[in-house]
Amino acid sequence: MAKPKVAFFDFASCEGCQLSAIDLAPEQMLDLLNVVDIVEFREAISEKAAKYDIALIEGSITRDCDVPRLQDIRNRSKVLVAFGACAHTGGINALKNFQKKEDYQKAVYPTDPLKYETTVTRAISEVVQVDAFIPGCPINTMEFVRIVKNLVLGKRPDIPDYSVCVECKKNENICVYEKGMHCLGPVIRAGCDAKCPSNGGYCYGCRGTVTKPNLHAQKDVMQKYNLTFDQMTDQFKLFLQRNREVFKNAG
Amino acid sequence: MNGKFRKISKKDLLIGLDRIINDGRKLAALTRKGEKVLYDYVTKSDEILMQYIPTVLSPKKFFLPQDEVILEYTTKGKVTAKIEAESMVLFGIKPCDLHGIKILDEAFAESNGDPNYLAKREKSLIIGLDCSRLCDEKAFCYKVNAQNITTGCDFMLHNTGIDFAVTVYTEKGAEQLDKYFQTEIKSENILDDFNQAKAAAFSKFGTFKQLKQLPEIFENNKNHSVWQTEGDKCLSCGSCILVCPTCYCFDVADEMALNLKKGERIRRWDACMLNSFAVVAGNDNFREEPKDRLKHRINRKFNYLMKKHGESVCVGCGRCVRACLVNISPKTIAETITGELSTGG
Ligand code: SF4
Ligand code: SF4
Ligand code: SF4
Ligand code: SF4
Repeated sequence: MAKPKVAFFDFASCEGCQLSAIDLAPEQMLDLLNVVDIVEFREAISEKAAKYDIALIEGSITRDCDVPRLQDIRNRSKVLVAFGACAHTGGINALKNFQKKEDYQKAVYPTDPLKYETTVTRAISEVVQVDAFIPGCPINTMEFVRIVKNLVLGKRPDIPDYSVCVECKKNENICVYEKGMHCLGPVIRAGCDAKCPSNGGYCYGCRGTVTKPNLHAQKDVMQKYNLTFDQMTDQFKLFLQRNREVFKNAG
Repeated sequence: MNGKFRKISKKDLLIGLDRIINDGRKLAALTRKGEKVLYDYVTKSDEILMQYIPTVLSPKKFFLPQDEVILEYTTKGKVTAKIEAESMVLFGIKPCDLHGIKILDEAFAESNGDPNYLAKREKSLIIGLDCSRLCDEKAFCYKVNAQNITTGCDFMLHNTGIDFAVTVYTEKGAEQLDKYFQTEIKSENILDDFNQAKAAAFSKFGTFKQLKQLPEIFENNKNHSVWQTEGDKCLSCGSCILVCPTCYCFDVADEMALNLKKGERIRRWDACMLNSFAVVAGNDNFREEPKDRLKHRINRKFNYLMKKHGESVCVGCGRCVRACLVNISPKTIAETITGELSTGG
């Protein structure tokens, strides 16, 4: 069996997910290279290829000129994967969607605001068809490895579709609501091993929501624990930009 | 014990527990780890907490771990079942959790039996610690009479304030008690005082009025409005299932190693309150709404499995009530359906 050709591409992002992907022990790296052929990867190699079996797209779409480039990659790829929170949900870049265009243009280029070509931030799936996604900010290295294995074996990508609370309880954590904090865990997709609530933080939703989140109930919980609607959207808009309207409707 | 009663001093109890550890056996007990209070392995008896604070997870995890490798395979076709069981002692298990273990024992012994669970159970010694009063306001063991046990542990300790009275339940218990612990044999019933104090502390709490009829009542109330009202509040987060000492559903997944030459079969806890649990092949879903899943979950406790085990499969430990951010409680649901709530019972 020929090794599948894998390529990495980045759009608006910090490239941290790509770095996380190669954050492997040397022997794991060798195992990975034994099963796939990495043909394009700006972080580590400079070769180029014409067609890809698996294209991993990091970053969100924030400029019109990104669209044809993404469509071109799509046309040349068998499987296209939204790779990391920015690609999956719009990520941190989508924060600008809360501001007026003139304002963020001015913030970046105060003296020449129009120099900055920009549009509303979109997730990859809002522009082209996405076959699989690897969530998280940053992605979880072992989850990346698992999804690559799934794709190579022709299996359905094995991404959990249950809440962060499941992993949080498995870790026997005290729920952060009992400690006076608020948490999106009940409606956010697990797979991170509840990293944030397990280490003194709370879940702010970097992995996006589960398939059927009960946002209505989530909103009630946060209000019951004394968070106003404005505080709620403010504190949790980081990764839930796309769910903002849903939150509102739930009100 | 020939009509005689045994007791053990606190000092001798701790000495005995240290002997177990020094014998190279694993000892799990209630202990503190950072901010968490949980059942975990200890290396010295002074790490053990006697004062019970309800834990997030029950001791079930020692016999049915959150994630467990049950099989290893190679692509060449070599398949090896994996059963890991070490000799261990579980100390300080409360009556509700002992009921939970009894129910799991029955469930996992059914038909061919579950070799992994049974091997772990076989190699374990369980030392119970009785409750003299209700642990907190969320617990409702008294509703199903789970504060008292007749089986589920090897021997049970009852804290009389000065020392511990001992009730032995199994032969293994008797033998291990003698092996590790210095006990004193008394002719008077030293349990009486404990039992009276316990009965007094629990006297203001009664069982569900129609405890025995719960399966029938639940069967007849599949369309009760409580399912909708409670189901609408539910986040489908699964916490209630994860923490439950009698929930035992698991998922099984094959994980290939990265070299694609070998792999492991892993079973991990699953939860029927999750939408992902209810979705079946072809993307169908027979329990699509939270209310459908809640109805299923609670019927498993008070109806379907209660018929099978002959006792409530909710042991009233209150863990799910503590875990649920929207206050959904099996007790409240049962009281609503039996009408106890509205009649002030
Ligand atoms: S801390 Fe967050 S993730 Fe953990 S149980 Fe509480 S709500 Fe769920
Ligand atoms: S706990 Fe939430 S915010 Fe933290 S890594 Fe997991 S999904 Fe992301
Ligand atoms: S249903 Fe709740 S109260 Fe009943 S045994 Fe399970 S966790 Fe305990
Ligand atoms: S813990 Fe509460 S909100 Fe979460 S699934 Fe259970 S009943 Fe629903």
